[in-house]
Amino acid sequence: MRSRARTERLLSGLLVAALLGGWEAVVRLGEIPAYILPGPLLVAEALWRDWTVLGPALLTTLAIAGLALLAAAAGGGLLAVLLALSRWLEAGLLPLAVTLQVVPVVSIAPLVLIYVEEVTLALVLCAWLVAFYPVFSNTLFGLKHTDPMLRDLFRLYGASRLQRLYYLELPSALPHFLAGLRISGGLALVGAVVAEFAAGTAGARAGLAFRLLEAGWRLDMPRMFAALLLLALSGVAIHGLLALLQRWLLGRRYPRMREDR
Amino acid sequence: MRPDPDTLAALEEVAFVYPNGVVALAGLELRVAAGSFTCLVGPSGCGKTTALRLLAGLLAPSRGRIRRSMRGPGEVALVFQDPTLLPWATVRDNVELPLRLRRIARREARREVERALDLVGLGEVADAYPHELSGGMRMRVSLARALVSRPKLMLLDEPFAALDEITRFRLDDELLTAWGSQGWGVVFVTHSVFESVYLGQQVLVMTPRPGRIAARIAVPEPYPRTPAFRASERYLRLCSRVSEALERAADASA
Repeated sequence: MRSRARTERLLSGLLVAALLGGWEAVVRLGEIPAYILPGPLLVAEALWRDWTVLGPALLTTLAIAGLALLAAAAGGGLLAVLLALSRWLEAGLLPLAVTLQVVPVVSIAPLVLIYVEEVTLALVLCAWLVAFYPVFSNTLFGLKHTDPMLRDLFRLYGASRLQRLYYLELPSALPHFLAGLRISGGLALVGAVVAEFAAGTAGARAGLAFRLLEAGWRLDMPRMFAALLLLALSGVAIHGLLALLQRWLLGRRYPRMREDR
Repeated sequence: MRPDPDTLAALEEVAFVYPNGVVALAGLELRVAAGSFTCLVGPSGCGKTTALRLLAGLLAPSRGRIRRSMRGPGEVALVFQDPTLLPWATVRDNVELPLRLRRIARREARREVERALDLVGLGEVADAYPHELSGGMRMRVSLARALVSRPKLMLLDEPFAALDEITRFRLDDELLTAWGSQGWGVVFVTHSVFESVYLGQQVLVMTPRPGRIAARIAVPEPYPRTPAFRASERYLRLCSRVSEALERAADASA
């Protein structure tokens, strides 16, 4: 099994190398100018040269996405628990949560930027709006779909509502919460980028998305690709971290959940 | 039925109709005495499980009366066909659950858990998770969880039906041993005629839906019962009496 995993990793590495090599070859042989399509070497060079601009931008975007994700985990999880505990709250708030989810963030972002003066806060809020729903709805599903026979058992033993929540519903919902969090992780980044586009914040606090736009205006294609590369790597890193968190929290106790990557 | 201090729970002329209109039980009479072992056999869908859930107090009858001498939680224990364990909790934590829910002091709870684990021979695997155990072992955990609260009434719903025969025979014997030392009243639902005669002091045969008691067959065999009983002529004669009663009940309703 282990050797098969190694072979797979080697193959995917070769594939990436082949793609990059092909890209560079096409650009060189086709004599495509850098302002239309820069080759990977040029992109790497731009990344190195512009690191003083792109590095801080990366940190800004990661901070916004990270805060939004934390808020989504806390807010989504907590709201799901409240809704699971109270039918009234569920009837009142679920439609609201669904509505927030279906309205595109691009259309809300300008409003948020008007009402919330602190720009970073506004950006986090926008990213949170996008990231919040998967955690929330997955957790709610997990809380509500517990084994009916176990519920009978809890009734038989005279468990209180909070005991049922603590001993049955929260542990049942944990894998669902984590699966939702993995979806939200990617969405937090998307939300941060979209919000930055809408805000167009320049200066020291500019994020990657703004640098991407800015590079586009200047026809600095290598820098644009470099910013894009950093965004992609951020997404992969968030995904990987959340997968690690999932494996660590589920561990030996949740056998079937451990298999998926 | 006369009131009886010995009675743990009794169903009197109980009918149960599900919200979708299915009549599960009609005029069921059932009395469980302290320390008794009653087996309930009947065709699938005859309302055996409904009867158990009524006895457990998880359902209220549509008509008729239920008398229960037990009040506190943990006095009734229920074992399902599926072990129904918390998958994320160790064997020990699963068995401890009923005591936790009753907020029993940790030290005392641990002692009771060890006792229950020993009773079903699970002391070795107390720290394993359910998915790391075989089906028979998981069922033992389920039994230990039922035992741990020292119930007065033990309700078992085809508990060993999903296990292979060798494991089932062994668990039947272990259940009898535990019953002998603990002395709860037992209602054991099964669709196996052979199992019912091997275990029970009496076998109640139910009609197809809507269920009621079609026949009561006493099993006058003393305990402890041994595999030799399974090979005896008395045993086979009782089994055929139960089978005949089942067939008669099915014919009468057809």
